[in-house]
Amino acid sequence: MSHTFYLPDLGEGLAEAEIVLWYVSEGSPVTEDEPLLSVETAKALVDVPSPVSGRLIKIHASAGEVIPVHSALAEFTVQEQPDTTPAPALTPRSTANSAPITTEKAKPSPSAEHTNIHDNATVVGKMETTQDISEDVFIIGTARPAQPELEPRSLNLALGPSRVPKSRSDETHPFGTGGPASAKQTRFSTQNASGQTLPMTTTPALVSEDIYDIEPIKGSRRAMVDAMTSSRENVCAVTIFDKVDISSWYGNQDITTALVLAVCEAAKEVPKLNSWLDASERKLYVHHHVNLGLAVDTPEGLFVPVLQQVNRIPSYQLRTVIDQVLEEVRSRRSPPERFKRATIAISNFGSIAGRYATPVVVPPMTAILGVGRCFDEPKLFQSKKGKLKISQHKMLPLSLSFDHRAATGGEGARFLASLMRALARTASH
Amino acid sequence: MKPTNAQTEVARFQIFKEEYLAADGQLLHPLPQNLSADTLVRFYKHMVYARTFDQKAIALQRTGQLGTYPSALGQEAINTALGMCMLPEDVLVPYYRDHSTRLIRGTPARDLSRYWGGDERGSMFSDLTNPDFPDCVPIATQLSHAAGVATALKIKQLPFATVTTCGDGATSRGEFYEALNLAGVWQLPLVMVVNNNRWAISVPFSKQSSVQTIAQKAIAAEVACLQVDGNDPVGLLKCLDEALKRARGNKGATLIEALTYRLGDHTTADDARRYRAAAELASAQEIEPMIRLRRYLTAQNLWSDELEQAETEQSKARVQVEVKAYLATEPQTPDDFFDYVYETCPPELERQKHFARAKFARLQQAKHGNGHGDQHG
Amino acid sequence: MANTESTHTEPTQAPKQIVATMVDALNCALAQALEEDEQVVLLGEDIATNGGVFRVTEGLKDRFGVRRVMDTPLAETIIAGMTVGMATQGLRPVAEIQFMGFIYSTMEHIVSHATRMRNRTRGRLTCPLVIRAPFGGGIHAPEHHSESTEAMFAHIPGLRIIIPSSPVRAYGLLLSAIRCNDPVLFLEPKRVYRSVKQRLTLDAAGLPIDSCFILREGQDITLVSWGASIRETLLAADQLQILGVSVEVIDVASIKPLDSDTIIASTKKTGRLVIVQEAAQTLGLASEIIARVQEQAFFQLRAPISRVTGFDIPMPYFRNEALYMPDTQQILDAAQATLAV
Repeated sequence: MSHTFYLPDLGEGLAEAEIVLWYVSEGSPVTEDEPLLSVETAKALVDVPSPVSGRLIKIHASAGEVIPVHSALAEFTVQEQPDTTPAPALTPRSTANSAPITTEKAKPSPSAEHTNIHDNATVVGKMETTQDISEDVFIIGTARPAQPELEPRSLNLALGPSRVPKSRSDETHPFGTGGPASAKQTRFSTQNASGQTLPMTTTPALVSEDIYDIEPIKGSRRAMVDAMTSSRENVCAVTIFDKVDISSWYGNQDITTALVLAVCEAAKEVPKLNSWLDASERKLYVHHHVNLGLAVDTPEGLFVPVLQQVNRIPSYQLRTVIDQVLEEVRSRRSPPERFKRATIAISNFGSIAGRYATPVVVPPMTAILGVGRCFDEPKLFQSKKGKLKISQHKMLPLSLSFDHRAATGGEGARFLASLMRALARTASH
Repeated sequence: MKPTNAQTEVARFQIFKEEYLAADGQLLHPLPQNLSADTLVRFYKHMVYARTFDQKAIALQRTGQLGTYPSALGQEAINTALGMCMLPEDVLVPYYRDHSTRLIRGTPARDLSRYWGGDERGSMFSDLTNPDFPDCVPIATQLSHAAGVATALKIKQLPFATVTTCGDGATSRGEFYEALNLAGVWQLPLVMVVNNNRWAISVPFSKQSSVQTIAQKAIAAEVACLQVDGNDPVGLLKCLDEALKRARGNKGATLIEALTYRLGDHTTADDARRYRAAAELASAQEIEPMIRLRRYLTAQNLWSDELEQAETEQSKARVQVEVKAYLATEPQTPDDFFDYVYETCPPELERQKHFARAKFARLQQAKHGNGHGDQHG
Repeated sequence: MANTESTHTEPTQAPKQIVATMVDALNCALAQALEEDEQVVLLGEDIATNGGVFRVTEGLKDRFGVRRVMDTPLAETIIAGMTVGMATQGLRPVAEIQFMGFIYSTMEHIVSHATRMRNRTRGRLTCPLVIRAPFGGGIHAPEHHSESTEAMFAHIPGLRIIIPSSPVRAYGLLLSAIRCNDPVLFLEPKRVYRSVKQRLTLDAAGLPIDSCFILREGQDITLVSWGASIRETLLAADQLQILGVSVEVIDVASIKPLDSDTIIASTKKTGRLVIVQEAAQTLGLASEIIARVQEQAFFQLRAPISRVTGFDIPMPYFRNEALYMPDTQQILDAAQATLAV
């Protein structure tokens, strides 16, 4: 009876081993458990004992060869009784195990006599090892939104020949939460109903040529992501654009203060835009006082400090209060309450650039005023003498966004009209 | 510490070490009265069998047919003595190196192989009257269990003892102290045997504790204690027999520290040469139990090279039969992994069982589709 | 927000690049931590002379001395207890529990003390400690050596739990864990210890421990996993890719506190979610992820969320491990079922 011996897993999870030395030659008798050959793994030199008693008839891998685990190592003919004739030894060690069990020294495991130190790198089980070297590719944090696709595609799962790996079974979904627990097979296809192959989409992997900084989105930018997402998902925004002539006071009056006062005026006339909307409860909290959020651009991001009950602050104090608040924000010393409870907001992006915009209404607020960069506009007028003349006017562009769930177009327009009247009327000091 | 005038001595303790058979095979004292030479011959034969199995287990591991296995090389005397002194009705709550005790108490080597071969049925014990615990992997936790078993025996007023074993490393764990404390205060019928083989994986006992003896730890629990040469079969038989009789006679617990040496690695996946000196190992090999008992028996004309040869062959043959049976073990079915979680399998687990059966079929198909598969069924 | 920045001075030359297994990466991270901060100490069974039973602490005792790399007696309870004590006194102990199967006696110190110290002293005393343990199955070990019980710990407030799945990320995550001022349970999937080799730059850079990692970007389905199961998850993603499915793969990594934002954002994009968990099903981490996703992204789901997990049984002994551990085919089946809805 012949027996093929395959290179075993030596308890180290190795993938392959190098044959170092055969202790028994082809044609020689062997005894079970007698050391057969030594192999070198990734880290250690191990003696492999003979699995059977009988005769070694063929060696499949010679000294120096590297063979994978589970490949054929040797052929034996197996005898019923162990052969007691000593094997012709290649090294003296091969006769060691036919000696009585208590020799003068109790022998530890067969390979202990080597001077090389074993390292299985574990104290239990076997470690799987590898020779492949790979790159670690990953992105930190929030998934990016869906990429626009260049070609339309459809997942047509029910039709067409299957390319599913063949070992299907009746492993219906085990835990009942993953879709219909159907007994019939679900087939995948890369072909649509008319047999055309669907385009394959592959996601680009980061390659070494990509140069990028990974910026974790933290703090105020994170808050901004949340606020803008919430707005996009909930608010039904309308923006009305107009411009107001501020020539009468331009240069003699602070624009921010003027805007604040104007918003308070407009809020008195059309309070609906100075409110909080609770859409789920179908309630509008119409505020009596104005908590005005002023959007402030800083290197750390967007901050919106709130001037609480600004309608009650005397106008001559306003600039000082505004300056204080802005200073706090710029030096990052604002207390947390400073950013809360805004009922309406102003975004004066015009101090940087831009004329008109569609500023974002941030729930639960229902309105926001965007203020653009002042510009000069020529106007024709008739002089007292009846001649057509051109004069230059300083115009302030306004973009009023409001949530149409809370206010009508008319209310929005009226708010803007009131705002513009108040601005035009601003006294010049 | 010299007492001051204000201090008077209130207690004093002594620790004794029992020794009969020296390393050179000479008896230091006459054999205890009830110990016959015949017993010692049987003792030796048990050790031959235990060591044969031990070596075979290592070979099986090296040929991919057994999982990680902890050799008991050099420590066979302790477990053989326990096996021979225990009554069938005494309960064994071992750790994981007590192979000889198990074999003597009737657990066949095929079951030991199954356990280390990754098959839960190895602890099932085909002999259902066997009261013993399975091997215990989480260190020292068996000591608390043993205290409980002993308590049960005491409550039921059964005249039997609980034997529990552990290594020297285990005596650093709280469980060891808690179990001893309970044994002391409740006078439990417990015999705790510490196999002090000097090593806890790579940590020598000198780094484990600074005590002079482990035995003295029992003083702190008011439990009788003794040290014995763990390579001395005579000494072991004598003191274990006495301790067991005390326990069965409701005279209380005993802690026995058996001093020996771990000649092998911690397990087949460990390599002790990384952390211990060859010289130390060599001198330990000189004094190991089998050599010393063989020397004595030979000098008494009770043993010879021919007998050695014959016994070795016979042990190998017996082990071979067991290994064959182990290798021929039918694989477990997927149901086996679900049917013993609760008494009856609850509905939520039934559903998972159904899924497991299908998965098992798929895995089997994949395995037998390969050329080589496992060498073991 | 945890401080993940290196405290060491700028290196004078370019950081070294090596090829590393996870064991190597962890070893380098520990060496870096020991070097940059004198308060960092390592303790555990067999970690000093023997270099740890998996060799993770190899060579560190020789380099940093026995006062900083300590072999303890065999006693997990005292290891955990003394780690708590040491941490309150300004040290940064990194304790190794040899296997997760032996971690349960440390639970009292983790639950009753380590995770409560900051709270009950209102910040006066804190426990900046790390407990490391190899966990999970797949190395054919004897019983108790293959546990995945991270969910038990994930229930405890005040604890951070981190599970790396690759050598590169293990390096960055362990550094951050050690530098962080909260108690951290750092679970190392031993099946990955030596089975993956990557190019690793030893730049002392920590990775965030409050964020998932996206390993693949995709649009049709999101696969979420952690630890050793990431391998099977990526294999399943590869197969799905071949079939024309665009798969997003997320490695949770920071199990607690959980970065559900990333998972929710991804699920909102793809509408389909499958979670792969080696641990037993009931009350595993997948349950928490599913609860949060359905709270915040219910209307964006196109199919019920699915999970591929181990069974609610004790892990079978190594001979039958494969029956228990979720494999690539199971993940594929779950993904296909989800896509078919």
